[in-house]
Amino acid sequence: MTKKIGDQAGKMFEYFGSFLRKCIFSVLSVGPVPDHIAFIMDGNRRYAKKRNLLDGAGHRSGYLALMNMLKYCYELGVKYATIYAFSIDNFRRRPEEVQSTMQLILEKIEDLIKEESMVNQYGVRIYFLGSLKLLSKPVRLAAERAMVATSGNSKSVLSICLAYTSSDEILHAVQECCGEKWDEGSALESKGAGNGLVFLKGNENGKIKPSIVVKDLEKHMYAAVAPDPDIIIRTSGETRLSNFLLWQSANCLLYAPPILWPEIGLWHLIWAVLDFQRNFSYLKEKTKLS
Amino acid sequence: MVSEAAVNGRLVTRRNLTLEFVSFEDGKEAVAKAANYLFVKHYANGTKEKSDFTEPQMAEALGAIGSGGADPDLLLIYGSTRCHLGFPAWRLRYTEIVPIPPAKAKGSSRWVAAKARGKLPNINIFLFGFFLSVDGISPEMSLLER
Repeated sequence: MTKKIGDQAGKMFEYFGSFLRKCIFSVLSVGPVPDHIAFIMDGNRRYAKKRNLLDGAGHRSGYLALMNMLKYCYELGVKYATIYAFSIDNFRRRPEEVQSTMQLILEKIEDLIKEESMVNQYGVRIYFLGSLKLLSKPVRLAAERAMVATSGNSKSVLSICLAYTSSDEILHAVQECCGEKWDEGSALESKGAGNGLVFLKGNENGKIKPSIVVKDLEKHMYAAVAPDPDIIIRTSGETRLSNFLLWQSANCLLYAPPILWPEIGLWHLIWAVLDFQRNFSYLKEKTKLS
Repeated sequence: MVSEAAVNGRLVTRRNLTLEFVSFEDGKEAVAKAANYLFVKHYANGTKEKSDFTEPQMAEALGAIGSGGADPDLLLIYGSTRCHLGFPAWRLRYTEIVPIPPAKAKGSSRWVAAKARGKLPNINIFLFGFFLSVDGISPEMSLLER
């Protein structure tokens, strides 16, 4: 009986919270709402240490905070969210820690694609960005399953950066462009055009030159599934981007609240959006110029 | 070349100062040029190489087209918006990005030096638009008092 009353009280509290959020978001929506917010979830381990929790508990608390932040973003009308889940640099951590993080990632990917999850509730399509071949087979297969399972969702997008760094992304794009240009040249050559690969022979005729341009590179970036972010939020007060979305963040507002990731809440998102709205005209002008 | 002198009773260590100007074209456009450089260099023998490009190869390519250089440890952004505005992405990987709000911009040298010392003990400082490269900061004097 007591449990039933507790459950009902909990539900009422949740409804009230949801109603209050709707009111706040209605007011925020009078101004420009960011289309894409990215998160660097820094501070999980420090949170666990601060609260004397077991190893891994910080990441689990961080996951709960993430689900709340994504819910708030999608309720506000932010269509794209990107999270920095695991950097290629993180593979250098202690093997036990990497193993435990991978295990948590695998577990949470499976949770995400369940029918009753937040992802299906908000019609979120999931993408995994990064050098997925560096992941263990179970995690890689789970990621591929999640992308297939949510491919029919079209209301919002969640990009999860896994085994990702910007430098690796840029290198990958360069590699893909070079491969593409090579294939184009070879195809011309085989059709008897005669000058398909002339640029490789030292520009004998000077007719064709390799011409990889910025648009070609952007097409092959892992993060090409979403527009450039409007805000990058990094917790713990750190002001580095740590090799995250460097190519895409030229005209992006950087927000670094001095709290650990599991401590992030609705008010931090509201503050970031208000800051975005204050700087909207300036950032829009800069985007046009570039 | 390092020389020492006494100024107002304080020990002052002089170091070389490199000034480098960087523009928007040293960002994405430079990476595209570097991609073309790598294409010509690695596919020049007429066969497609199997191995992926590496970060040192990319750094070498950027250097060859004139957009190389060390990564700044600290990026100071003067203005009201916390945004790096297209600073060359390849060089920004682990850079501390510190916005200098307009209220601090006037007379900001001590504030900036305090922030810099707080963040990193021995740093190369670059400013977007123009660069100041200093091999370490002497603890006896702030950078901008030089």
